[in-house]
Amino acid sequence: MPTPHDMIRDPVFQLNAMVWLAQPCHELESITPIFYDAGFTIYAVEPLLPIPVEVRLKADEAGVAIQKGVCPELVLHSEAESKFLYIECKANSFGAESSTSNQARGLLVCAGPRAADILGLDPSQISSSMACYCLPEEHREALCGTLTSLTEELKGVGISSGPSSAIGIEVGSASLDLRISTPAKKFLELAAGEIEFMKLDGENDPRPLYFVPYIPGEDQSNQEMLYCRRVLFERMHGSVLVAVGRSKRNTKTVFKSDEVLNDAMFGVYRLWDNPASKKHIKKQYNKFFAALRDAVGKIVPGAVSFKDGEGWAVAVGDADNQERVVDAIARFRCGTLDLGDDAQGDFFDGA
Amino acid sequence: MVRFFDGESASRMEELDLRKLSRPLVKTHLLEVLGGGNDLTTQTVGDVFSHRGVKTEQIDDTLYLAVDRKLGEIGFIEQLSPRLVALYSMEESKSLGPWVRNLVNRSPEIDHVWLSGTTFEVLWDQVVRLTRPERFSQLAFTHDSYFTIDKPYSRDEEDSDDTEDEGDDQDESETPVEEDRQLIRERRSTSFKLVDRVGEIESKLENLQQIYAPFYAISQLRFPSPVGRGGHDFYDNGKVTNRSQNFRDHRLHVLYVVRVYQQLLVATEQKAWYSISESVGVPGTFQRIVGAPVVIRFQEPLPSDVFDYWVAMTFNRKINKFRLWGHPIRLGPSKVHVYGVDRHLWQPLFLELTRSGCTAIIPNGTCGNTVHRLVTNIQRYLDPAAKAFVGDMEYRALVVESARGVPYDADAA
Repeated sequence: MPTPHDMIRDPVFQLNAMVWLAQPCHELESITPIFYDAGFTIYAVEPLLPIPVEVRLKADEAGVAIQKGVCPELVLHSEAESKFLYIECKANSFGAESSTSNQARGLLVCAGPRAADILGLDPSQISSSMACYCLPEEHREALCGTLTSLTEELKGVGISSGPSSAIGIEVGSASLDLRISTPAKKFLELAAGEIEFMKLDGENDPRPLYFVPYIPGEDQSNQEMLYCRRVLFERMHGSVLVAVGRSKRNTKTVFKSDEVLNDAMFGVYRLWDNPASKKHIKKQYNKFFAALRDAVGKIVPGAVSFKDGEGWAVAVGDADNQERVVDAIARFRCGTLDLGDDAQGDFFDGA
Repeated sequence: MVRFFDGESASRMEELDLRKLSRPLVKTHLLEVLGGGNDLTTQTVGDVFSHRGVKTEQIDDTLYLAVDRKLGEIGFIEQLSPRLVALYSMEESKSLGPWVRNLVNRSPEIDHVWLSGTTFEVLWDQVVRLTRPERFSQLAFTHDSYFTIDKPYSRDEEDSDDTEDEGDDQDESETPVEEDRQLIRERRSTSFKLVDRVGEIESKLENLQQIYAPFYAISQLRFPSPVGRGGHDFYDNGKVTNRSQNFRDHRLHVLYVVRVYQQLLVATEQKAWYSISESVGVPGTFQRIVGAPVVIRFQEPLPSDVFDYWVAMTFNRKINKFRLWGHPIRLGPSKVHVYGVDRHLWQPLFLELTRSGCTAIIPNGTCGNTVHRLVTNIQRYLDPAAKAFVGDMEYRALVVESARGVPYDADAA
């Protein structure tokens, strides 16, 4: 089991924690939904935000590197106050000279006066916006320094940007705590800068249920990556079982990888615009189905098949055959899959 | 149909008074058909039942005669709303109950209507409002700490496809257990009826609940008939027995509860369904996660062995009390995550189970019935005093809101 210190560095954990903080529920056992309490709900997950052409031209003229589009993990919105908060999760801080700063410059522009254009809204729909990084507390001060430098740099070349801030996550004695820099604290109208947001009970892993189990290309430890892949496989497994369980007798259910993966990732998969990431995840999809075919084939030969141009399919016959196919799929265990190059973690042990 | 059952109901009441019942009472089973992402645009109610081996003869737009291949005529099926139907029958409970249960078990398109203890509490409030306090009513309470181990748990039980003790689900009120055959149970197992005047029950019930939690696990409630003696007994699995002399009155009570339940289903789904939806009007522009978790909090944390047994008996068995499937991911001694499936309706469901409660994410399209079955079964088998929330709203408030505004078509008693 990873320690809480490992966990707070993991961007997938950070993203899912941020999503839970915006959930409309006060009865959660271990999470205090501070964003929801502050009036913020989720406006967008991993939206692709294009940077205005004239900004890119100005940056190019000045020799300042800026991404042509940015994709923050989360955009929160306060409908009552027309505020937007862009959240980007990171394992570490970065300097103004690093390649990551190209993205940060873009995010600062998104929070600036062009926010309405970038989000495609009427200017009256935005009163203010802010770029905010979420990262381990020990890197928060350093990152705030970087954000100040980048803001100055943009100002120096005549590019307007918006306010920025950072939220640090740290491990407290009995909780995971947020330390929120003053600008974000004011933006969210929070009374306290330090908030216990997730209880630690000392015996259980604090991870919440994951809405988004996978972010391509993120800096994850091997153990975290294996956990995320396990969740992804479990979700795919469930999707296949649902489809076959509900299928009519004597039919073949053909699975489209985009649909299964989109289903497994709460619709986030289709937002990815990185072909390499999509290729990687499709490899996992094929690996899952190949293992499923082998396992089910031992009980109902030929039930799971692959055909070029069609993809993976599950065929069921009469009622008895369908029940045997469903049972065979249900008995298959993702935990038996070789999910990575390294040894499997203890979360494959099941209940 | 109404005239036929009306006549039968009057005769049965006369016979009940004489203690000489010549034929069984009229019973209704409320069932949900399809639901979730499905609809009835491509299949009629008749089609759904026919696919599951029940021959149906359509009598009018909403009424069907149901015929079993072996048993013959079972009763009438009336479509009361797009998703809810009533099966009216005069078959004996001992054959009708298993017949309905088998039909539901083999049909992913058909589920019972699940009336939780909390839902019954709200319905009881309606009984109190509309009935004179000196009228008699009846409440039954059923709680079985099924996951409290009164025998050592064996790993051999894992992956067993054995069916569970179906007797636990039976309506014990109508199947008296022979004294010599009663099992010795050393775990909390509560099943009793309370018959008293409405005013008397009302003045005591809350206190009783605070003293002894199984009083929250209401599993049956009698609506006294406003047009005569007796009433209508609603059970937690959607069964309703007509113990009045008037079938029309019976049907009106059924219609009332169906309307409440229909509103409850829609309200649950509107609040709880998680989906990715468009943030703005331009398709494909931004995606946001909308929905709210369903949270069930236990009054007291479960003992560790009960928690382990609950997880094992639910997810290591094909047939389990909760009708769930999934491979739990252990996150510690008292926490598991299950990215699972409601094995009855074949719909996805993500669960966090701990000793203190359960958090569920219900993806868009998963039927609200899944939530009500979960709440009903948790009250029945784990914690009768468990409190449920759908997002920020207490489940009880959701039921109250669903009941508000639904016309209760009964004259003053």
